[in-house]
Amino acid sequence: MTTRILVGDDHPMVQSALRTAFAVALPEAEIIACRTLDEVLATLARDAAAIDLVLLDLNMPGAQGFSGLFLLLAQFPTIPAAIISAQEDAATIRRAIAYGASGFLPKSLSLPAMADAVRSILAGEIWTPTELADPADGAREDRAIAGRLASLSPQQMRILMMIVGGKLNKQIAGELGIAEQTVKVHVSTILRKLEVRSRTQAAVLVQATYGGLPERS
Amino acid sequence: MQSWLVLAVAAAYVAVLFLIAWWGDRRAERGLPDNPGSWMAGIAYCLTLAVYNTAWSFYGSVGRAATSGLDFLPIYIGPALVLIFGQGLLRKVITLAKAHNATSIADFIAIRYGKNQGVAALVTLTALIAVLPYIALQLKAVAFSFDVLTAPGRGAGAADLPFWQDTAFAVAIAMAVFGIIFGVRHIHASEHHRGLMLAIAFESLVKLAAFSAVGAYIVFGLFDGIGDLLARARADAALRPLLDVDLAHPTWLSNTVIALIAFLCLPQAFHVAVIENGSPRDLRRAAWLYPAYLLLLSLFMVPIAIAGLITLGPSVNPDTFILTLPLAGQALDIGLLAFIGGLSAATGMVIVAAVASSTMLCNDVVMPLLLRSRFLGRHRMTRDVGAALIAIRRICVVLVLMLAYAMHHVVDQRYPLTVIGLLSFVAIAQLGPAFLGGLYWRRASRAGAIIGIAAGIILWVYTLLIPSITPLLPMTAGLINQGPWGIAWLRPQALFGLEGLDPISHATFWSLGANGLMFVLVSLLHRPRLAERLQAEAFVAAAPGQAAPLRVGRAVVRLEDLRGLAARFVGAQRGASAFERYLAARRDRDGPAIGPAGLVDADAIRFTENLLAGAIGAPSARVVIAAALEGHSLSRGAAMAMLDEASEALHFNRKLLEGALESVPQGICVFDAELRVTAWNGRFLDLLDLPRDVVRVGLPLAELIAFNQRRGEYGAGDFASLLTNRDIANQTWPYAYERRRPDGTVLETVYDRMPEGGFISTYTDVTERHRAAEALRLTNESLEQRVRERTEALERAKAEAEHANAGKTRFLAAASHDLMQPLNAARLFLSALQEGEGEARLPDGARLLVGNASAALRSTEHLLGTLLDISSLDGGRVRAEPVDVPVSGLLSQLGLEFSALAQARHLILRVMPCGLHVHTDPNLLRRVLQNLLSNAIRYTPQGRVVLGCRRRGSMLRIEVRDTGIGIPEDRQAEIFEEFRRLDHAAALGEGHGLGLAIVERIARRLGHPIHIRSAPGRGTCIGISVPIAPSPALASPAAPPARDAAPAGSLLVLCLDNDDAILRGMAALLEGWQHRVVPAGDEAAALRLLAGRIPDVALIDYHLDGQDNGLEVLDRLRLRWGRPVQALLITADRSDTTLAEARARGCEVLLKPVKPASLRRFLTRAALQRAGHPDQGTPP
Repeated sequence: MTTRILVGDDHPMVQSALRTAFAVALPEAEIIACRTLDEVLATLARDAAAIDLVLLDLNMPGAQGFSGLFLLLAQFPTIPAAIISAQEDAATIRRAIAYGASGFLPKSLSLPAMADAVRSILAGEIWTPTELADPADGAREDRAIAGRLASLSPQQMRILMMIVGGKLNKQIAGELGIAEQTVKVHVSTILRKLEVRSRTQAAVLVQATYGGLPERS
Repeated sequence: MQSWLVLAVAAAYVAVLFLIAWWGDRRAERGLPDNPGSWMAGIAYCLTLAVYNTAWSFYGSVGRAATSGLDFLPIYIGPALVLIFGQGLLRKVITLAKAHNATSIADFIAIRYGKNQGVAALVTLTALIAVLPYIALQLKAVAFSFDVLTAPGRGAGAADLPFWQDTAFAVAIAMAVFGIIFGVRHIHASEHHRGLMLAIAFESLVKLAAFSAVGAYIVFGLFDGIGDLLARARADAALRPLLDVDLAHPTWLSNTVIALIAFLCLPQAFHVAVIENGSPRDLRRAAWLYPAYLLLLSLFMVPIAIAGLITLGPSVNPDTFILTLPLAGQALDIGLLAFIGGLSAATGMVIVAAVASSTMLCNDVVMPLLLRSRFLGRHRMTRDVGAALIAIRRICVVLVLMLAYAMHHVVDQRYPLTVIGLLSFVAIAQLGPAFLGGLYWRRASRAGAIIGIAAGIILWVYTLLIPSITPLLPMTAGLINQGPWGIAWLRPQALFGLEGLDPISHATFWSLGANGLMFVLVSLLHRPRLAERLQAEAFVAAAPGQAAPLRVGRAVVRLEDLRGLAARFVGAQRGASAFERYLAARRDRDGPAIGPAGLVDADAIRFTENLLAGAIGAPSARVVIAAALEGHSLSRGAAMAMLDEASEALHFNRKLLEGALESVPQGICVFDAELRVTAWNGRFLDLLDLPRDVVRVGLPLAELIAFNQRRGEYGAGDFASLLTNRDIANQTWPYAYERRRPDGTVLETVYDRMPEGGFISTYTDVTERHRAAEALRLTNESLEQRVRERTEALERAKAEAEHANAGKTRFLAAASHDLMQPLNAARLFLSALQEGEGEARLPDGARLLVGNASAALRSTEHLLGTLLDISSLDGGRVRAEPVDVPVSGLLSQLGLEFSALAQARHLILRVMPCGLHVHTDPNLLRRVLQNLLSNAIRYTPQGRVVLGCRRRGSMLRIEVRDTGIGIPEDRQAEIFEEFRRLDHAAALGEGHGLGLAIVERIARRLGHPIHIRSAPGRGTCIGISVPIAPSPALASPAAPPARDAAPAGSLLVLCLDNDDAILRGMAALLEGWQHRVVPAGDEAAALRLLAGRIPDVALIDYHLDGQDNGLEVLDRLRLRWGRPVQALLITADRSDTTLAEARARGCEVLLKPVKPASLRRFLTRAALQRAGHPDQGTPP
């Protein structure tokens, strides 16, 4: 049985390297490469059940920081999603786990280790390169935020991401093809669920989760 | 010549005198002005001064000239000197006398010496002793001139006649009457006697005219002018000495001195010169007019004397030459003229001397006696004292004249007139030291004056009077010749062997000498009383009282009492009018007004005393006032003291206050209770720039404000505040405000109340203070401005720097990240090459190359990773999240981590155990220690690396010690810089020099200090100090652990599946993930096993036993639980309908076979949702 792994990474060379590496280390895996978050989501939407694991780079086009992770979690709650990143500092790893990632794969990982890691994740383990002293430790705040974000519906998560991107209700309505009034209702629900009072606060809350991550200019 | 003719002429002359005096008084009563200061007044004043030239001058000077030539002149030189050079002295005397209402020379001197009655009496008696012979001389002159005229051959033998036939007696009587009528008309002795003075002036004119006419007749009628006479005199050996002048002779000096004093101190001279003076201008005119008069008078003296001696020979009394020469020339009319002249000279002196003496006698001898007696008893002075006073004075006039007449009878008829006159002069000269000394010497005291005068008089009697009466009292002849008890050096005319002087000079020398000496000595020894000191100050400083602006607030008498007292002494009408004037003046002036019935203050008492002084003399007035005050709870002594004190207070207060007010730098203005200006100082005028003529005593404040307002002194606000603050009742005192004057000066004005009503305002120029404050304020503002500007500039610079730094960090992060991607890719490619089957196909050399390339890439990755770390730290994206953690776990973990590395390098790594907890971010701390350890291992070629802790107070220092190469002390600061590797360290290995830079940044972020201790070749010890946290076990054993009791994200999961094997597998899987599982085969079992709990998540198999599918069971369970519990439908059914059904219920679907990763993922999300909303989904 083939394992289908969806790799979301905008870097073509990385894509190619991963494909080559997995071909060597995980011969049973089939790599599906996506360049943008939208592509990832579209691929999943076509046949979610066919995908065994999503490996998501941080900061790909269409997603800043962990927003891609949040969107995936909201929209496809049964698709395992792990972070694969060139960044491998403990804070980022811890945060990724706190936000519900299925694992964290540094790109610097050696090939056999990476194969092991993918296999562990597929077996239900939450894999990180170093043993975290306690994934929950010191991350209660992150977990609380992640929890609030996780309570959003997929549609609400999409709208939130647009709000963070600075879009107006009208623009959001246009992009999602829904009525502006509906967007308004969604927005007020989002604010209530996030326990904030304004769109600005909501945006700040989401941006706080990017802490420590380089911004994409 | 017939005596009736002479008598008739004399009577007619006297009648003319009466007429002139009457006319003069009428003019005065009608209020016709006599223009004091006019030419006429000046001439008249000068002529009255000529009362000094008595019959002695008229007859006696010729006699003197006949015996000793020009020796008569000093008698005239003295007065001329006084008038020419003593103007200041005279002016001072006149001012003082007027100010104190002095009535006589005795009064004047007594006032100087504390208004002492003793002094007054002594001076009076002295003056009387002096003046009686003098009057007697006049009478004698009149008598013998009459005799000469009526019986030329008989000589002077009038003494034999009974007094009623005596011309002298008639003259005395006539003069007494004249004096009584015109000299003692008013009780007020200090007032002018216009009629009397007019008559005196007339007489002076007559005597000069007569003398000149007679002189001219003798010189030009009988001889051929002065030249002829002088020539004859020079020709005659007997007469020649008359023309010689020996200025060195003591007579000149002594006579000049006594004449000088006499001109000032003779009662009549003092009276005309001082009391009757109308204007200082008169005095100035007299300065040359009177000497001119004297010159005219002296012109014919020597020629007449020569003419007499030539014509009549020495047998005729030379005193009578002026009469006998015309008679000898058969010019009876000229003789009569001479008689009239002599008569005028005599009467003028007699009248004024009698009047002046009577005043003195009355005020200074009789009044004190009366005041002491029952006559004017203390409180029973109900009678009109004024009338009694006038009566007393008139009696005194008669008394003086009768005494003089008696003396005239007693004194040797042949005694030369000049000698009698000089006798008088020497006596009166005794007043000189006290008089002149009192004016110019502060220390001059009453005792000194009394003792000096007494000594002088005693010596005068001894050296001059006794010898001069020897002819009358032969028994004294022995005394004169041999001295008392035969002691030669006590001979009166050669005292202490002083011989060779004429008797006058001798007596003058001794009496005046003793007088002056005693006066000075006693004054120096005797401490003057307060009253005396005050008067001394007043006299010497010559600052007689003007309006005294401040008074002592003492009131013991009603004004009515004072008014009554004044009326008794000065007459009802006069007293009343004086009081009216006084009250009016006070109303116009300053100070509290007093009503007729009101209590009086010291000023009113002073006024009354002064008023009385004009009538009864200052000493008596003082006694009378004191007596009046006495009984008003005052003893006489206390009343006297009070008067003195009042005077002192007046004077002292005024001077003190004036001095004090003028010396303060503030402007001061005092207002009385009616808000009228009372006192101020010059600074007040200067500060407010007020014209001197605007501010006056009594000026209402309202006018002052109006004046200021007219010239725009106040700003609108100022004025309003001024007005509102005049509301005295609602005023807080002291009240201060500042106001800016139009010229920009700022005045600080402080108002405060005075203790007795009114208030005082002080003005301080605070312009400088204001300028300073303004400058300070400006400086402050500019400083603040500068600080603000600098701060802004700094903030800008800081923002720019931060921006630049952020930009750099961002750039570094982005660069590292983007560099990392292809590196990772490259390494993955290499890795694929190494790992796969392809590796075996590689040649050995290529395999080695691949390995090297892989290592190089790994190193680069590590470097870039570290750079990323640094940029994260610098960019502030790394947050320190400190918690309390046990340090032991951290240390052992690190020990495990690095043991392999240490082993590979053949180093011993030791970790010292530590049981403490620390408060820190464990992940960041671990990174620090990791870096330190890897550095230590890297730079230690051999030996050991120790990881241990030391407790330092509240801090735990976690140290990494090695036996490595060490760091020189001077370079220890450098090692924390990026890419800094010390040269000798670089040789040792693959470090990038970033480890310690990261350590430094993290330590800074954590707030944990780094310590370094190292010596080259001996190793390094680097430590980080971490705050110690209380050990949970010790501090609070019952306290909950720092994290959730349940394992993180632990959920209660319901597994519903009819396949038992699947259920078991599922439960094992979920429990492995720290979840609590409730496995159930069917709905009933589920409910039973849940035992009322509501699961967080329900995992339900679609195909259950029985008819129901999983979704229907879920519906029922959710209904029962009352909430939409998260659910996952597990099914092998891939049909879209099942999927849609599940989605419609908000239920996710997982296809069989279940992928553990997907299940985990779902549960993670559920756990997250529960963490985000802990109130939901928890078991009840």
